[in-house]
Amino acid sequence: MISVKYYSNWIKEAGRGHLTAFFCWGGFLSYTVFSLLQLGADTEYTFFGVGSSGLLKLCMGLGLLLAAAEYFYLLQPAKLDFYYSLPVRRGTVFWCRYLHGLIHFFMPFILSMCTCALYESSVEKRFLTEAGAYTVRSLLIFGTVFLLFYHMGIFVIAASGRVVSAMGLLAVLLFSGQVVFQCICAVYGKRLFDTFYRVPLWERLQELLIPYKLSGKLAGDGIYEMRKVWEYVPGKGICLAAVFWILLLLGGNFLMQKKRKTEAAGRMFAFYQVERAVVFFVSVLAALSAGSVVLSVSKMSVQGGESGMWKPALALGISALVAGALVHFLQQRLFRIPGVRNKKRFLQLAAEEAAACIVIGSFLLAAPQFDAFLPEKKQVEAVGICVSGLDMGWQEYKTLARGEDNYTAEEKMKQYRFEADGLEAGIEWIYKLRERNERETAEDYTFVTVCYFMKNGQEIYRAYPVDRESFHAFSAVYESTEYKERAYPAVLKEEASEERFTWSDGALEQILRLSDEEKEALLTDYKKDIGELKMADLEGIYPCGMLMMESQVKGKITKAYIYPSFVNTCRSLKMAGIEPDRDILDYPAESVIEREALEGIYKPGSALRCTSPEEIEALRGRFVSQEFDVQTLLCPFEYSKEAEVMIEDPESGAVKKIDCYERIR
Amino acid sequence: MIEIKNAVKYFEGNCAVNHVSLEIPEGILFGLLGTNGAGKSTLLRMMAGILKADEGEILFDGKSGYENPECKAEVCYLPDSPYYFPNAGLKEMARFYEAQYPKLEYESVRYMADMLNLDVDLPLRTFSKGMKRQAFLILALCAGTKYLLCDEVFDGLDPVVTEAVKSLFRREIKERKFTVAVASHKLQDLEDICGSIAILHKGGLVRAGDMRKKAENIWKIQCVFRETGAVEKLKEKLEVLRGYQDGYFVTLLVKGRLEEIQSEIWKLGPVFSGEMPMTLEEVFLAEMEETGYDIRKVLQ
Repeated sequence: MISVKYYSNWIKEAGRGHLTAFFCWGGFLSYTVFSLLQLGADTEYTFFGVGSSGLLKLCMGLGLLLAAAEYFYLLQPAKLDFYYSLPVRRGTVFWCRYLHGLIHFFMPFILSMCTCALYESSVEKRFLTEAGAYTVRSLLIFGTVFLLFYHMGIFVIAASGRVVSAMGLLAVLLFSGQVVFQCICAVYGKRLFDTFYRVPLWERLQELLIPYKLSGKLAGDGIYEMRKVWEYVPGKGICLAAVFWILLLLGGNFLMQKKRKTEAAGRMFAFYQVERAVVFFVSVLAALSAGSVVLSVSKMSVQGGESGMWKPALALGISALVAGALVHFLQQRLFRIPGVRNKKRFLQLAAEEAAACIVIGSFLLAAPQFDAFLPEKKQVEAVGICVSGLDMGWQEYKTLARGEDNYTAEEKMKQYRFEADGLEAGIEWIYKLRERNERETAEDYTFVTVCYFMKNGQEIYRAYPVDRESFHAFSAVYESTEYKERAYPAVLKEEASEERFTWSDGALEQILRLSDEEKEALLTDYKKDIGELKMADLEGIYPCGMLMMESQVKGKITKAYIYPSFVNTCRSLKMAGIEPDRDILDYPAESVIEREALEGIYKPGSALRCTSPEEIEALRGRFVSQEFDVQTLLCPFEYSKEAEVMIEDPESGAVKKIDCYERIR
Repeated sequence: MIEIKNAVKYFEGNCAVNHVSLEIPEGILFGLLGTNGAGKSTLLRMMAGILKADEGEILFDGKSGYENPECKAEVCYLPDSPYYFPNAGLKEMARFYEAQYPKLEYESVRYMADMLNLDVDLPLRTFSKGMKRQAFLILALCAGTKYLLCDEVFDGLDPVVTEAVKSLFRREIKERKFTVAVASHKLQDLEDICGSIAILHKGGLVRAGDMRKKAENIWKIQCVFRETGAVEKLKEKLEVLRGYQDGYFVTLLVKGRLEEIQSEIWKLGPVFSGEMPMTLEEVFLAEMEETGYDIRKVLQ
């Protein structure tokens, strides 16, 4: 009875926390109004629950704010004296506040979600069948996100004695994972591993260990398709990680509530162990980060095997030792607790330095093994290959850098994923490439990013330098059926009658009036040309146009670049009234402005405007539409020279601007 | 009864309360005396169950108060700067205390507040330091607890209110065996009200108990001699704890039987000799100097 009475009293007392109510009810009222307004305008890309980054941020923010509002008393000595002098257990005060925070979060949250669900159901009929499940999923997912941050907020306050240390500890919990993986592992990997591209395990660990990334993954952040969002269920691993974190932090909070002393308020940290752990962790991070800075600034790398390792090892070791010691002493100064023996401090410093050295040593020792990795053919289920500069334009090519995680490379590796003859040829080519890399020191021409999809489900990424000879040897892969199917997907079309054919010569588009038979014939000719295509055929030859096949049923457009060497296709096109070898200046041109450009920036004063027919005539054959820049290495343009060609559409009389590159003469 | 058994408290390696053992009987006003940093507030906070003793224990009627709501329901703690909710008035605080201390009645709070001219509706933040102290004293007295622990309770009160509070304490002590432990650094505050006093210095207990009883065989004697050097002569024959000489005027603190002391003094032929009443401070001085302790370090 006493316990019930005390709890009811303390729930009322916790009710004094008007801040909590203000944050939650105010936050969710604003969110609901905003969501309803947005849903009224658009239900296709507006989501009130799963898929809403606004709700994700609100729940994360409220978790931390509520923890601060409810548990700030733990950092206030006068308030602690007041509460602890009353006839009530500390646990009662602590857990009543916990419940108070939960009640004030979940009440408006549930109301908000239900209101939005009802409203969306009334304006979007397709949502009716999904409303219940989607709303419950949203409640569970965002409730979990809130709990994660709420527990984290309580943890940092309970473990600290001052606001500044609580903020510091929160920063450590929130951002240290990012520092570890993005500033340390990624930099060490890039600089020390010659064939580094990315390590999926590190990415997975980031999702599981960095709270806001875990929350984002849990809440389906980054999914925009309506159907996918409505049906989104987070993976088991992510759910388990979230539950693990929530329970771990809850357990930590429970223990700290039991063990926390009143006099902890005002100290930097409430527990000596927390202080030691923070000092250790931050010092080791600082030591390793200093190594990252040295590696990034000096562009140092491990080359020449073990003999080339001593220099980076020395530089990394010295920088880590100095930075680690500096940060250790700085923290020691900040967190100094009298009465703790200096001997212990020095032992800890030694342990921190040793840990940093072990990590650096592990990276250095792992480098030769990492670079030497080549899977056996039988272990590989598929291989994704992205040869930089092959089947891509200049704009894509210049975004790629060896060892840098990149969207283009990812997309290309997805597109050029080989499982049959492409896999065989691809693995063979990689073996030879690596052999050559080890044997000779030929100048790098380009590089290839490879993903080995292993039979055990692992994905292993590597980036290898490619010399000119190896690049040309890639023709064995290029000429495989699988590669051509990926690079020229029009060859996979079985029926042409459903397609609408449009011809683009880089300037204007023209719908082809073809009968079903003519369409079939054109497609067959194209397939024949692709079947006979050799990689060497593409050297120095620019596409003369592009054939677009738009499915009349699915609406999907398939593009097929046509080269002058595609004899069969060009003949069919001519029969359809197309002039495949038409130059852009065959159209009546109003003006041509030539500019010199460097890295996409125009050189001042370099513009040259030609308007007279004679000047324009003299430029004939020099420019190709930028749309046809599809083989940067095999058939490059003069990328430093760009031109704007203003042509007139002979049928409509409209003037059109065409961005062009200059051909290499 | 409050029993403090070998209580020890460390703050970051510093010993704030060093093996203190005390017994505070029921129905008295007990003074904890000491300079700043002597450990009196820490000892009070330990008694109030705010701080946990690193060693030893503190018992109220045989039960530990730490994390024991039933026991703490009989103890009220009034700190040096009492905490109150932002914008709360005496009325709101009384309602809150009412929920914590079942014996508290709001009407009694209101009655006492009227007596002391305090507005129960006004926010406490608008009160002066003395008014706040009065407000919390009202709450503490009305809480109906058996024990009251006060830190520097008379600090900031004007003489009239101080007297009023003291008489309230006396009345409560008389009526319901109320026990009050008061920490102060001013001996004058406690002199006329405390039955027993404990002196703390650097965390340790220097002396405790009813000092007047302990000083029963110590006498303060003032005499006038015709010549100087009487103090030295008396020191040879009597146990003189302290002796001042100002010209021919001599004040002595002497331990022993009064008749023997007076007889020795008269042998030196004084012009005048008489016994004088001792203040509590003098009792302390005598007590402490008897033990060879430099009391000036303790009392300021």
